[in-house]
Amino acid sequence: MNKNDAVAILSRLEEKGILGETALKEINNDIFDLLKENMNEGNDIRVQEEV
Amino acid sequence: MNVRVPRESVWKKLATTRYDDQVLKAIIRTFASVLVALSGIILFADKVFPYELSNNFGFSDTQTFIWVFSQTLAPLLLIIGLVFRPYFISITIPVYIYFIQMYWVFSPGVRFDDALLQLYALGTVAGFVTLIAAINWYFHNATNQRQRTISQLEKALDLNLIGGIQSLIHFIVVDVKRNYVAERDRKRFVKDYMAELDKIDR
Repeated sequence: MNKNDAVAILSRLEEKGILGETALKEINNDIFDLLKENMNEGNDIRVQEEV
Repeated sequence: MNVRVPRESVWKKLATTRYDDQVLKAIIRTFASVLVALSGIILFADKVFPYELSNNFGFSDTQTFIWVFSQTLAPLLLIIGLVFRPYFISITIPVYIYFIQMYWVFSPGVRFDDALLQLYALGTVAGFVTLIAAINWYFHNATNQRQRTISQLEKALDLNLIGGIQSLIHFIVVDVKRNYVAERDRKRFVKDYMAELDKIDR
C-alpha cells in the first residue's frame, strides 16, 4: 500500500459515510507514521510488503 | 539515513482533491451555460452578419442561409449544453429569444425594441421560471416526504447500520489501538486494519 492507495480507500469510505471525522484523522495520522517509518533514502515512501 | 520530509497529510490531500473536483465541475457547468446561452443568441446571427457570402447554398441571400443554419445549429448547441448540467439562469436566455421568435412567426413586422414585445418576452420568461420553480418545489417536497418515510422505516426496522459501522470503526482505529494494542504491534495493526477497510464495499 502507498499513499495514493490510502487516499483512495479513505475517500471511498468517507463518501459512503462510514468514516467519522475523528476516525478519518486518526487513520490519516497512522498512515503518515507508517509511510514515514518505511521511507527509504530519497523519496520512496512505499510501505514495505510483508515477506 | 534520516531524511526530513514535510508532513503531507492525507486528510489535507483529501480536502484538496475535493476542492479540485468542485473547481472542475464549476468550469464544466460554466462552459455548458455558455453553450446554452449561445443556442439562443445564435438565432439573431442573421441580423448582425454584415457580409454577403459568395456561395449561399441555394438560398436567396446570405441572411436567409445564416438564419436557416442557425435554426439547425441552435438545438444541437442546446442539447450539448444541457448534457453538462448548465446553471439554470443560462436557460432563460434561449427561452427569452425563442419566445420572441414565436411572436415574430405571427407578427413579423414588429421590431425587436418594441416595448410590448419586450414586455411579453420578459413576462413569459418570468412565467417560465416561476413554473419551473413551482414544479421543482413540488417534487422536492415529495422527495423529502419519501426520504422522511424511509428514515422512519429504517429506524423502525433498526436498519440504520451506517451509524453503527461508524462507531465500530472509531472503536477499532482509536480505542482498540490506544488501549488494547501494545506499542510494538501498532504498525502491524495499522496495516491490517487498513487492509480490512480496503475490503469494505469493494
